[in-house]
Amino acid sequence: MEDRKINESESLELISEMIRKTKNGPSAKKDYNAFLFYGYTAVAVSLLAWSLIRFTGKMEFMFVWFAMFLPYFVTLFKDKRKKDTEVVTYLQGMLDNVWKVIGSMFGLTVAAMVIIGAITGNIDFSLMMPLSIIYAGIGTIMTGLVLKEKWFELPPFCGLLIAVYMLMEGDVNNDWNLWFGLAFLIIMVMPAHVVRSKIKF
Amino acid sequence: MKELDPLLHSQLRLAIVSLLLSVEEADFNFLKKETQATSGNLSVQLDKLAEAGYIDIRKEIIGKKPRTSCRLTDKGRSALEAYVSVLKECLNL
Repeated sequence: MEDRKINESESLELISEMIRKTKNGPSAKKDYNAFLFYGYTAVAVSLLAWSLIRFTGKMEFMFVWFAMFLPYFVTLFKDKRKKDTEVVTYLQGMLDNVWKVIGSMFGLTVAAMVIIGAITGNIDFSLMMPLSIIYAGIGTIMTGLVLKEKWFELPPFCGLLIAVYMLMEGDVNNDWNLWFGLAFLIIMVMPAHVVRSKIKF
Repeated sequence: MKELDPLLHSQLRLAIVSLLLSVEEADFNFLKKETQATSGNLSVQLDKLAEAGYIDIRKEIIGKKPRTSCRLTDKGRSALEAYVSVLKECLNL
């Protein structure tokens, strides 16, 4: 393409062609790796926590859940290094902001639990499990609504049912670990695999 | 009848602005690939658009590589809208 004058109909054609290129190109190439990364980490950590508690009888092993912050720091580091994305679409920008809000809610909830726990003398993170399922579920559903992708809209509702069950049951027990892993399998891993299989890279 | 904006009435500059219309931000390589322009020519046209306030250009170093990214400004968006309405008048659309 050169710096040459064009006629009116060529102009209109060029505008349409360029808009078409941005619609069919960059936005269609999302790989959903983040969903798989967080989803599989949650499943792995849930199995690890369940096994450790099952075989030692010590509920203190629930601390392994703090490993869920690892994917966040890894993606943060990777994004910093790999900030060479050629193009940021409005959809991608919006989804980034949605997940920033969800991420902030995770962080704020942990901070609130620490502060309130310090005041009352009992720091209890057990509610983090159902709340995390709810936050991740809402984020995934919003992603599905923005992308018009049903696989990101419907399965997370099943995951949310697990969170409601945990909240109604009330008392944290070792089975919560398995419920949590199952919820993330339904909310993130399964939809991401299905949607990825539909995309031609 | 209004005249077509001379800054936009050029193949490469119009292509750049049209590409930037649908995205929040695009880098130099993306624009080069989609317009199939030479690096030199693309740089010159980007500078012209930036001087007119139609686009914002951000230059940064990522790792050891320089990266140039561009986004359409409100002024550029309005200019393209005006350009398209004049085009429609010209073509009786």
